[in-house]
Amino acid sequence: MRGTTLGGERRRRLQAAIFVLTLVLLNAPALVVVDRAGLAAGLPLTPAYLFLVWLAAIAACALNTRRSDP
Amino acid sequence: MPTAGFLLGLSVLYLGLLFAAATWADRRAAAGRSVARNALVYKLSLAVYCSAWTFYGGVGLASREGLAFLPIYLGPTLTALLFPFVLQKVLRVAKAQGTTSIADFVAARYGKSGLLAGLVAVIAVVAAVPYIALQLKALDASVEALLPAGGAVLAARLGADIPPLVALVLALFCVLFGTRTIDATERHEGLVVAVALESLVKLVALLAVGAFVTWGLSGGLADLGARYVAAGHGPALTIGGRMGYADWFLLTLVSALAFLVLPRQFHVAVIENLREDHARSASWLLPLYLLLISLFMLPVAMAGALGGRGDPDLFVLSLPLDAGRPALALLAYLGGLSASAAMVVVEGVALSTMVSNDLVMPVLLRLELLGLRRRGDLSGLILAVRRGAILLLVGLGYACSRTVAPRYGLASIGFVAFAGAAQFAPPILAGLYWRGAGKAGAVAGLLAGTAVWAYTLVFPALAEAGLLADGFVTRGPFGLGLLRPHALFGLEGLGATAHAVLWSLSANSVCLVLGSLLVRPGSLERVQAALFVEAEPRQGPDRLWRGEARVADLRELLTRFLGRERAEAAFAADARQRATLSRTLPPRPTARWYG
Repeated sequence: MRGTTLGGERRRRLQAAIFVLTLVLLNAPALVVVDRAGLAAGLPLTPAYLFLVWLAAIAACALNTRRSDP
Repeated sequence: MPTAGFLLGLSVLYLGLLFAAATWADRRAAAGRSVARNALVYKLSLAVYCSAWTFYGGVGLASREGLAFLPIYLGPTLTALLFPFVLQKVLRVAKAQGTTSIADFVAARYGKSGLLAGLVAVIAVVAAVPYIALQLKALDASVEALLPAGGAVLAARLGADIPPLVALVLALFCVLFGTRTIDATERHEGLVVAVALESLVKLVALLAVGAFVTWGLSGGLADLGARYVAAGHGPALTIGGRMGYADWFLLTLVSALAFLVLPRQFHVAVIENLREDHARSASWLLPLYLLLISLFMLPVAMAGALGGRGDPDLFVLSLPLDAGRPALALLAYLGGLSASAAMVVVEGVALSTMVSNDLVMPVLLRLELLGLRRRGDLSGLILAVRRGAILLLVGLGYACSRTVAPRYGLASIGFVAFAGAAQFAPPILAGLYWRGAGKAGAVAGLLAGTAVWAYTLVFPALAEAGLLADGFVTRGPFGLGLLRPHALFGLEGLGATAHAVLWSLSANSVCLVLGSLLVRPGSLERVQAALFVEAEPRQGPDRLWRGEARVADLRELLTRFLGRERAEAAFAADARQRATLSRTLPPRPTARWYG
């Protein structure tokens, strides 16, 4: 029972960390660093960065959620 | 090109199929084999967020403002990441309180205040009008795009113009879907299944158009990007090039808040929720849906801009049409129809519930002249009020779509509605996490925030439409430059939406805090505050109410509002549930009923 509670608490902390990190990466000042008009591997840099962060957040959240599923 | 008759037939057939799916799901639910209990159905139904604004307006916004379309999806993604904290708590409280709408929820938190419920209902209706106008405008435009000459033929054949017909069909569809019966829980499992189905259709349609434009019309993402930059559109692919980072943050914020508190979102996420744990897995599946549906918006916008094709809001239709792919254009049309219909139906259900429960019925019941307190069955009257509310709502949306909306892109109209609905966020979030938040503060905050929203966004829109003198927008009221609605107190450099969001939410929050600190809450307020703030995960079937009531009294009360048949069904279902629980759980008396 205690293990379950601790696991749940850890999962909640991880989820909060994913949220904060995503919020930080998707806004200034982090965004200012990558917000350029250039292309990276043929793709526009800023949209590519935003979609990558977005995808990473989804993957991290999915892992965190699925790991705790019974 | 499709003919007018074919398009009409296809639309009716599609809406009929959705209706059939809803009826089937309702029957399964009545037989105890609920489809809506499926976690995927719940998650897909949350995508009712993606209305015609997403389907057509997202590409239009990407074409006009570059990356400004992304906050509309990144905001809800951030909200979804917080589902295990916020939505699960809202679900826990809402189920314990027997909440039937967002107005009900806010009112319950602040001492079950009828005044607050009515205020929330009025604001929700006012904020929803431009949003419904957006759906109607998008549908009208899509029909005209598919039938450039045939629209007039169709209108002549039907003996009426297309726009009012579209509004009427959507209103009737909403009445048929949402007000067939009254249920004590205000749940509509059939509706949820139909909305989930529509979410799939619009996703498939946008992905199909996007893939075709990217790889069929162009040489892939890299080719599109290179040609777009070479054509001098490079700054549109940055945030700093078209908008400031403050605008970006504020648009993300308003989208994040709106996703939680838009009446239709609250309805599908909270009222229609059947299992609390569905919210947890939705925290990543919903963002995945949003990522997929927005994946090709920029490529489609880039291809449309490079081709110099007409209205950016209609690139999703015009690009396949111009490329000689009418079947793909029809699929896109069905996607747009899905997006609009789902939004109008769920919004109609959510708002008509609020209008009847929190505005009209409380007033009618107080009018001794009508003698409603003595009437045994009020279900017919309640249904009539709800149907009238839906017709009125769509009628107002139609009026807005013909007067104000023509001057604005779809996204601009959508943001007006978002900023209006976001005013519910401060009282809800403060109500969940701050025990000191009180009714006086909530009322003051809502009034102040809504007034500032109207002053900075709605009145300027009315002025631009010629319905108000535009001098107060350019020079300020009475020539007071500090009060210009787009540069209030000298704050310049922000877009109109970001500016309105900043001022309205600030006014709302400050008044909420001050009102709560200055006015002492009543005893019921304090009890409700504790129940909301300290809501813990439920263990077993506990209910918060621990009073006593006679079954006969409850039956009579329920019959008045639901009708005899539904009331008996509710008692039978409750009896079945109690029988099941008594077999699986140890006895734990929480309320005493007497036969």
